[in-house]
Amino acid sequence: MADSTGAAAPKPSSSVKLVLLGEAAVGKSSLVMRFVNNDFQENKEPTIGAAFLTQKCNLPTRTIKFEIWDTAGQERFASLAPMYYRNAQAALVVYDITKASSLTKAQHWVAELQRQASPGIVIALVGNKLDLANAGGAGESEDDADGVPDEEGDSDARKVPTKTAKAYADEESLLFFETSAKTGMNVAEVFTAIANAIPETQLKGPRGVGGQTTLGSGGQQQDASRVNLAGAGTAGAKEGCAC
Amino acid sequence: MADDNTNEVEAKHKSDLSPSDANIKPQDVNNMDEDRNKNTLAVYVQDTTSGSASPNINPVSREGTPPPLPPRPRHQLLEERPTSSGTLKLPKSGGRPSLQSKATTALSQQDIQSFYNGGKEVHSKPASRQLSFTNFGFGISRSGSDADDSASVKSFAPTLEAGADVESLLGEALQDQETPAWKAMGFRPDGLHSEETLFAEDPYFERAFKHEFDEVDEMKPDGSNEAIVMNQWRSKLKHFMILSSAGKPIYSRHGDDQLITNYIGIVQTLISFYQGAKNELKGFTAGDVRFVIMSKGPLNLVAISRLGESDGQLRNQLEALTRSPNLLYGLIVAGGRLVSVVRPKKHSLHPGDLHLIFNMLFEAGSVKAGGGENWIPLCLPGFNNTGFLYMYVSFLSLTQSSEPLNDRPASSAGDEDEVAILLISAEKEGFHEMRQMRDVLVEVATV
Repeated sequence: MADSTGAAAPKPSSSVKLVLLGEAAVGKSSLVMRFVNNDFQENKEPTIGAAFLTQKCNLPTRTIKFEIWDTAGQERFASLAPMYYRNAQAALVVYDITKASSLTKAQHWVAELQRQASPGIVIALVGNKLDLANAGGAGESEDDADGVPDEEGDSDARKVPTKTAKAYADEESLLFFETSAKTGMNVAEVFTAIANAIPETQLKGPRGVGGQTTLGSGGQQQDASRVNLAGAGTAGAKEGCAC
Repeated sequence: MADDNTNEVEAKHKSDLSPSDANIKPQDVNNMDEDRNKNTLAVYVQDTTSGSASPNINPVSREGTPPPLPPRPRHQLLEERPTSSGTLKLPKSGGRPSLQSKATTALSQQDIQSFYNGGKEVHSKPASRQLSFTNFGFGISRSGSDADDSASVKSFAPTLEAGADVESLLGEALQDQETPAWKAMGFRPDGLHSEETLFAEDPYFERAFKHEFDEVDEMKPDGSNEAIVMNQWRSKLKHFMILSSAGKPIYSRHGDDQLITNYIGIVQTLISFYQGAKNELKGFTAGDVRFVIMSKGPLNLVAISRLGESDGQLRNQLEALTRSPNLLYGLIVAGGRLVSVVRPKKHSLHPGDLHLIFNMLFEAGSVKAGGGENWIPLCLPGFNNTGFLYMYVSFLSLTQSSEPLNDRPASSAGDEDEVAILLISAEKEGFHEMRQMRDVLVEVATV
């Protein structure tokens, strides 16, 4: 079980910074909540900014402590994303299997991550809301083999065939899962797979690079983003400040 | 392109605030003169539920009249909490309409009193700390019993600064175990008296308190107003000073370096005298004034108070003085009400901004519901309507020790008694620093 904690034997423990990206309302926060709290909420309100949660994942040989950045999917928060995926060792790019455009957005995120994020980042493509598709995961891929989605009848809201997404994931060397945050299906498996996929060499101690310091990239970027609060007392009070 | 947007925001923000060097570390003594003088702490208690909480006069911030905050539903939990817990006993009715608040955070006097419902315990204090206002520097002689004075002084004491009030806030979490500081405050849970007898009018104190947050006038170049300025300075009820171990003035709550040089000299002499004797000076009492001294690396911090606070409280306040320059506002919110604010001297927290924050936290459920912590970009138009700040939000559980609420099932709705720590920074990358600050805060509050 992925979220079980407290192994008797002390195993090496390391922190992994993980970021969730994807279109709004695909279920990023729900996935995290299922993983961290084993809970599900209907009609969750949109995330503002980003939420930070942690959860341990016990592997046979080591313990991974996920430091999860659950980002807001709404477009107006898109410009903040680099702050969260910078130095991330893993990313969950989530789409909604009932909404074709969300896969397109997910592909954009993958491209951005491959371009901008750390070179060794482990990316998992996750199709969420599996509970809305017709039961029988085995049949899906066969039915969808002809490439025509939504042919299984009115009750199936699936718009993204498993095969399409899987093909894309293979092409880009991504982990691929279809999950349901609502039922919990495959959620723990995603995180376990990510934990296993993180190369041993990347793992640092609990206070390692991946953990504590990772919001900042160091160097120029960080300096540029600094604002002198003390100075704001003088200069800011007169000019920029509305006080 | 996402990255471009980000940088644009940053650049804009930066130019609005200040272009100067931001990397001043608290340990950097050389840079601290400038730095420290810009920041001070003031903590106000606010009951956002009472419509009367909005101030009409605002001598500190010089802003226009802020709009009153809309009433917020009162929550029974806070009011009906058993007194044995001794925390957050907010009054049901405004017993005292007087005393305008000193900041836009709309200090409501009722709440200060309410935190001091146990403040009648004058007698639990050391006798040496009897408080009297006969020598207050106003040149007003007055008759009346000292006991009355003491009672009212205590009841008005804005002691809820920094760590101390956190303590009272989280007292609930501690259940029945009294903390030393709690004891030091002389708190006796069942010793509640009616407000009328507790808070006897004391116009002299009220006047002093009213001006406590006013700025001391600038000294004129020719020194012609020295006596007036000095008098203003001396009438302050509380002083904080920071000086280097060599005796160089670094920060003063009131007045500028020039004004306090003499006093710094005396303080330095006292401190070094005891240091020379390998017997560090921690604190002493002179008349009605308590001095508390804390050494922190190359710094000596001094708190001077006539407000009858315990050494522990004053120490907590001194601790809070050495906060990170990245922290702009620190807020503690309980049950939908603002309980405590830490803010820079020059920036009051605009009521509109506060309202915005509260709306975000309590009306939009997403922040609260997620569990864990949040890092939220937001614009506080009252502070600066052209830039972003970043808000760290952490909801604390009152029921299960002081652990962050990671494990709490998000569906549990009865969370109006939740305590949230909000730390607002202009530093986009400041999440982890704010997070550590939260940890320290919780630790201080519960140990």
